[in-house]
Formats: sequence, structure tokens, C-alpha cells
Amino acid sequence: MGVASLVLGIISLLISIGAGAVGMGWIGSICGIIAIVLGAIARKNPEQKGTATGGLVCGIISLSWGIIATIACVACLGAAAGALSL
Amino acid sequence: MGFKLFGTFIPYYGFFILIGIVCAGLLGYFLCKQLSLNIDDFIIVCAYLLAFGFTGAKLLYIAVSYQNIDFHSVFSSLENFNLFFSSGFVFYGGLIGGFLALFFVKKIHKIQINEYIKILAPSLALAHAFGRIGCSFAGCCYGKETGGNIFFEYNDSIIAPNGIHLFPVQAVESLSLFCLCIILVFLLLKNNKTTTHILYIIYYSIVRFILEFFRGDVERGIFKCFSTSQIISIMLFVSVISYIIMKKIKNQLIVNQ
Repeated sequence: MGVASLVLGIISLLISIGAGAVGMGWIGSICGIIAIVLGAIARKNPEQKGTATGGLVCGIISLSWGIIATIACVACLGAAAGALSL
Repeated sequence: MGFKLFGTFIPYYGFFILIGIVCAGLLGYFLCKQLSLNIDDFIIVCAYLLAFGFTGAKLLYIAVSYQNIDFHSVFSSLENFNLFFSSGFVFYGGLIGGFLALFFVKKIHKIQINEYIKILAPSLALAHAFGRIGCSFAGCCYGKETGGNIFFEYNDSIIAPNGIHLFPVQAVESLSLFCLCIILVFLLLKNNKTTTHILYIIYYSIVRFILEFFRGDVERGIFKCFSTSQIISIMLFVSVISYIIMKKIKNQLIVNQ
């Protein structure tokens, strides 16, 4: 599970940086959340702690980047709707 | 509304919500240490909360404003889809999604949720307080026009009306949430049996119910004379008070037996 977390964390980081440029960083954030969960579970096993921590950190960075670059406004009901309404 | 960082446009809201989440995480870490709880379990709970919270916030947004959304336009191009996906969330939807997340965490990971909810309540209040500062900068969730001395005036906002004195409802809510966070942390450190999540719901539902009267943004779900958030506030408040009364009665019955 530690290796899965690390692989997913690196993938999420690459997606966040690459797809974030075209406004699709949220895909990386989804992978990042899964990497964080897997990493936190794997950290309970002392043998996998190193790789799991790596995956956890990559997941947190990609999630943070996804949030900062993607989320425009919470509870702002008019913004997107206004832009996309008839 | 935002700024450029290394050539990338950073929305104010995203920036402040990230600061809020980082501060909430640090506060959670500090409280975990103080109350001798497992930090890895806390991270799992937080990850589930984020995933379910954002999903719930988006779904409630779609539910209350589906009449204003042109779904053909949303799916017509990648740009429109990204715009739709990344903006427009409702906090209460996130809160309801969060409760669902706690249910799944307990079922799947067998984590003792009750211990972590106590830590999550002040952390959530802190993240939310920063989020409201983001609202102020972005110009969303703005207040009604006011003739008072304390006001916000936007000059180049694409959301809020420009050149009008508006009641600073976002700043008031942010301040009340910072106060709530401090109160909850103080109570929790004083007595680790404090049910901070119950206090959080009671406090926030009252504050939100009152502040909704001072909101000026019109494109929100309105039912009769109340907004969607006010109806959810009433439901949450009544649910929590009913839960407390039922628990009291149950304890009384056990004592009598």
C-alpha cells in the first residue's frame, strides 16, 4: 500500500502541475486524496513508513495545488451560474 | 478576482481556503498531540472529509441553482466544464457531506470517530473563517446596501455591485468563526470530554441564520421568506437540540432504573 501511495502521489503531482495549467488541476486533487488515504494507512506499518510518507507528502502537495489553482469561490452561487446561464 | 504567481492565475478564494486548510491541519495536529490521538487516523478522516465535503457542497449548489445553469453550455466545451466544476459551492452541502464521510470512515477504517470530531470542529471553524476572508476579497457572498459607518465598497468586482456601500457580512461571519474556534479550543483543552461538534452546530446555525438577513447576493435558493441556508440552519439546530433532549431523557431513565 505504501508503494501504491507513492506512485499515486507522484502521478497526482504530475497531473496537478500539467493539467493545472489548463484548469483541470482537480483531477490531480482526486488522485491526491486517494494517495493521502493510502499513505496514512500504510504509515501504520513500520516497514512501509518511508514510501508511505513520500506518497502522503506528494498527495498533500498536489491537493494543495489543486485547491489553490482550481477553487474560485465557495458558496458563490451566482458566479458560475451567471457565466453559464441562458 | 485573484493574482498571478509564476505566471499562473491564483484566485483569492483558492488562496485563502488553502491557508485555512493548512492552519486547520496544524491546529488539528496540535490538538492530536495534546489529546494523545493517532495523527495518521486524523489524516484519513481529513482526506475523507475533503472529498465528501467538496462533493456535497457541489451537489447542493446544483440542487439549489439548477434553474440558473445551462447544462448544454456546461458540457459544450472543456473550458465551460472546468468553470462549472471549479466554482459554485454551498458550505452546508459540504457539512452534510462531511457527516456522510464520518459514517464511511467509521465503517471502512474502524476509526473511533467521536474522538476526532472534537478536534475537527475548531479546525473546521478556522478553515471556514479564512474562507470568508477569501469571499471578501473575491467579492462574493456580499452584504446588503448599508448607510452605516462600517461597510465594504468594491470598485472592480465582477460579482458584487461596484461603488455601493455594502454591509461587511463576510468579515462579520469570519470574525464570529475565529471567536468560535478560540472558544472551542479553550473548552477542549480545559476538558477533553467537551462535545465541541454539538457546540459548533448550535453556534454556527444561529450565526448563519441571523447573517443571512444581511446578505445581498440574490442568486441563492429562496424558499418562502427564508434562504436555503436558513432552512438548513433551522433543521440542524432542531436536530441537535432534539438529540440533546433525547440523550438527557435516556440518561435520566438509566439513573431512575
